[in-house]
Amino acid sequence: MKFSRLLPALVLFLSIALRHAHAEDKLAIASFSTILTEIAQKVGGQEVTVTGLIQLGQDPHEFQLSPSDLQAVSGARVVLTSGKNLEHYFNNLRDATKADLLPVGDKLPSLKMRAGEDEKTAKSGFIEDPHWWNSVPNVEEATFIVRDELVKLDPAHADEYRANAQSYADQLQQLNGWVKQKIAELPRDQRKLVTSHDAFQYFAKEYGFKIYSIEGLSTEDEPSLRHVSDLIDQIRKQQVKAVFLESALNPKVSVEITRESGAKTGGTLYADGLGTGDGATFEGMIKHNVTTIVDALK
Amino acid sequence: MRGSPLLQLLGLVIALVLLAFPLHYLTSAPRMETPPVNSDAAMSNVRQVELKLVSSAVPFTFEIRFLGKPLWTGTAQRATETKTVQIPFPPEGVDLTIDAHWTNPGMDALQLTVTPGEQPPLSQTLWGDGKVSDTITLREGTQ
Repeated sequence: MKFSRLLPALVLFLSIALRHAHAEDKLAIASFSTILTEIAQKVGGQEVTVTGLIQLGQDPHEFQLSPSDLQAVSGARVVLTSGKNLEHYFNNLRDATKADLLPVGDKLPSLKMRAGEDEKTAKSGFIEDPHWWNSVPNVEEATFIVRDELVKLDPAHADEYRANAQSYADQLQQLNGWVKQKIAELPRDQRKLVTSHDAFQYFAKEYGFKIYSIEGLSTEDEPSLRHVSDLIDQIRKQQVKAVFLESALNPKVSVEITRESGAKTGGTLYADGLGTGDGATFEGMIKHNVTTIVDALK
Repeated sequence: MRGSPLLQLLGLVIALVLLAFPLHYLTSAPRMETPPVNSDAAMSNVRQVELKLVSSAVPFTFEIRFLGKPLWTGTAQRATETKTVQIPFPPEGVDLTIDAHWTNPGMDALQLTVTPGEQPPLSQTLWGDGKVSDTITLREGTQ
């Protein structure tokens, strides 16, 4: 009689204990990129827990690593970073954590950029452009890099990781087909992109655009008066129809250039990763950017 | 100072208003109108372009779109179909979106050859299981 009364409580206790034990069994991943957070969630599925340190809409160029961030990544088996020197705090992170650090972008082909004055790593005057996620095929390649890491760390769930990665890659291929079809609405000689900072080189190379950027590679760079004046001349000469703003940046200089050059404001783009609203997923971000660009330049 | 203070104030206001016009003219930045799209340049790129489709199987239905609009659609009963169109073909090249469906299932290939004016032909082949859907870039000097 007494045992039958205790049975429901025992079942409840066991269920909670099992759930807790299963959560602890999951592979812990930390991510310093909104794009990689989504990839890790898609590839890892039910077998992983992902802690995203960069929030939706946050500018990764200006992110400062804090002690609470180190606490948050302390339990992770792998820490995903964008790589290509985007994370200026990378060495501190490497020294402070025992987890594997995977700078995913370092495994992808690089485009070189002229370095800003504050770029300490640029001995040759050029640095790697870190904005690899603005090309859909690059994100597909990043998916397979994350998959291989998860398979290595947790071979017991290798089949799930491989199947999840393939499913997400298929979605990305469909997305890339949509992008190419949408951009094909725009004549190739009208594909001229004026953006706030130099974040769309990979996009431009993939889809046939020429880039005119207002600021440098980092959102912290300030444009010189000479550069702004040259850019206004270029916009007039090239008959560029629109100048685009970025969700994480102050639009003051862009708006002024738009006014002076006679071009229109084409809309706001997500340049540095996922944002809020319709840019909260990679597919949403890409569709927003491509639709905004094509509709403004047509 | 002589005269009514009200008259003096009125005189000051009139002087400021008169001064405002030349000051505004001198200090405001010149504003350009939105430049018109160079339609002459676009028109000078218009060429007579021959399109040729070669399929590994028939029949098949197809649609080729240019700048988001249908350029050539149809159902082919023969393995080879050709059509001549007039489109802008700038040095940067053109993107064509191709959708095709074969009646019989299985892996099939569709080759599109584009010959712009007197230039050498440009060609790409798409493979698909029952259907193909892709956007291809054709540019002189790349094929």
